[in-house]
Amino acid sequence: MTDKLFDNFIRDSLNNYSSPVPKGLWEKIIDDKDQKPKFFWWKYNAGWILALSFIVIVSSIYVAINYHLNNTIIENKSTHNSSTQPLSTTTKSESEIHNKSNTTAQLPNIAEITDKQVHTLSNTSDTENFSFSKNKRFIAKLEKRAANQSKINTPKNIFNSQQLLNNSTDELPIDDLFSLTSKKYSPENIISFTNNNIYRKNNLHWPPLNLKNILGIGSNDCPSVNGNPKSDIYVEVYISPDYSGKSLYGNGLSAAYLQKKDSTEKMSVGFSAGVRLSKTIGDHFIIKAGFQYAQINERFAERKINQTQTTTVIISRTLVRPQGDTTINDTTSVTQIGYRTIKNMNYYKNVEIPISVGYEFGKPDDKWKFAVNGGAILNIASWFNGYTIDTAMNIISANSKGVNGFYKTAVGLSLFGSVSIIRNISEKMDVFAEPYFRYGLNNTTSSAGFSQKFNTIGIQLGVRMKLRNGRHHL
Amino acid sequence: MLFEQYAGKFMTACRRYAKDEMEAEDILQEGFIRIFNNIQQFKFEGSFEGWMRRIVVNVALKSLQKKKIQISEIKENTANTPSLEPYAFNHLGEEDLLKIIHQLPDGYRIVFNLAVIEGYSHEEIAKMLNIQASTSRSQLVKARKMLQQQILEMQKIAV
Repeated sequence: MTDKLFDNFIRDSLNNYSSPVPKGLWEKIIDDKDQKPKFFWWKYNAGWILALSFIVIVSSIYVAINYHLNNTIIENKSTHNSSTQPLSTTTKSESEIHNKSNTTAQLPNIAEITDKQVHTLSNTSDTENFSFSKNKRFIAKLEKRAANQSKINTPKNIFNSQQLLNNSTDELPIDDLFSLTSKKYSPENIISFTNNNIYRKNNLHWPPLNLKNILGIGSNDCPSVNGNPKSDIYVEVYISPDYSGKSLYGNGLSAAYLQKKDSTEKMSVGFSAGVRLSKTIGDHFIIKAGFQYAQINERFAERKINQTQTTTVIISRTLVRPQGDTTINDTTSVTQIGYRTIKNMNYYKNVEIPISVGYEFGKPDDKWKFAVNGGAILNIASWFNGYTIDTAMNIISANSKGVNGFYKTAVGLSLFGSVSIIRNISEKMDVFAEPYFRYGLNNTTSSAGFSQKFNTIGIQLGVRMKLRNGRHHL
Repeated sequence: MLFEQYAGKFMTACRRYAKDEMEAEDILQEGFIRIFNNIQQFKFEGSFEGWMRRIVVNVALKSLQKKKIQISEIKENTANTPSLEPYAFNHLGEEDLLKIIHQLPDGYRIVFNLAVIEGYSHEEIAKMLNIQASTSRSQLVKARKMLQQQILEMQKIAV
């Protein structure tokens, strides 16, 4: 008989043979199916979720910055409307300019800047070289232009003239004043130069990229209505149910070991809790830093096969006889060979420093506020308690001290992003919910032959108490 | 119902791979859970039964890999096996076949199942089991030889 015939015979015999199915299997399947992990969607859609989260966070930050910049422009516009009023009415004669002493000019107009230039010159040894006749036309042109600007009164012109007036760095070098009438420093060019510096693209929607202005900590800021600095300080206390996903990568160990480890360890719900201080910068930005304790829980279950258990059994029998009943005790032992399942909860415990920057939407006194946050979590201490599988596939009881080189005692850095929903409940207190995603950058193992990383999702629920009230509260 | 229609056939497949009935039951249970969880991924390309069977076989292989089964060469004591005559199969039932397949060493049994009954090529088996294709071929030859020996033995007893 050929091998092919033999194979066909076996295949035909067994391919359609139906073995008896154990009773109750269907019920077990239904039960197990219902108990599948709730986060199975994460397993299959992790890439999409991460990409989407990244896009949402980046878009939010972009929108937040734009929103803040536009607000800055609106504030500038209102300032200019009031300050440019005297511009069209202020004219000064040459003699007035010439006789003006070193006192500080009061009016914020073109004449003022001209005065300033003139008196700067008058205090130098080169005063005699200065020719008013040369600058006369320049002053006149500036005044004329300022007047025209105030007549036109477009937002752009108002903004330009004001920037020119306010910009103290625009003082011209003394030497260059002699050539003020030259093309290089013609009023048009000066204004254009100033404007180009102010608007990189001569675009009204893009004011100077001044970090202080963006953050709202510029020196021109007024104090808040109650006289305090313009920032609130909060203390926040929170707790979060977390679910972590584990990534295992082989680093010299066999795929069989990784599969074994993966199959014996299933992630479970953990938690984190912490306290942090937060400080607002400007009306919208907020920085936070604090301490937190985070615990990742993991179920360990492994079946040990060929386990022998011997049970001693005492059998007691009573023999009924005419001369009297006799009780016989007999001792025997039963040896069972089976498997033993070891179940345990493993704990990864961490002490960490979370640092973040956020942008808060809405006004400080709004009942509801939303914020987007991003930052880093620095792990300063980490330890493990529980069971695991060693490279020889044996179950070992491990902890950070006992198994050297297996798990790190300080994991390193994680990145996180979150969205906060804040509800004001009293003058001094808010409650908040903050769903977050945390991405682990570093391995939790050191030289175990495999790399293990955790990514976590959770929702921080907490309260924040205001320690200092400094923002504009209406 | 899907379970009623295929559970028996798949139980046979599980018994071919598993060491005992309990393990076969576990594999079948896990296999059906995966089938129900992934049923939307079936693209109506090819046979539905074939698709389900592949899932069950994959579960069985994963279960075996967890047990770190080594596929290694076993020294043969007998040099030649007499050729089987077709009538040698007359008295063999499916349970007998399952029994003698079950007596094969792990590596032989897995390769024989995958190659002969599931119809995978040696290259595919090599990838699935992380072994060389040549190892798969030699395991199959030896498994076949060992099975034929067993059948002959059973034939002698029957006679």
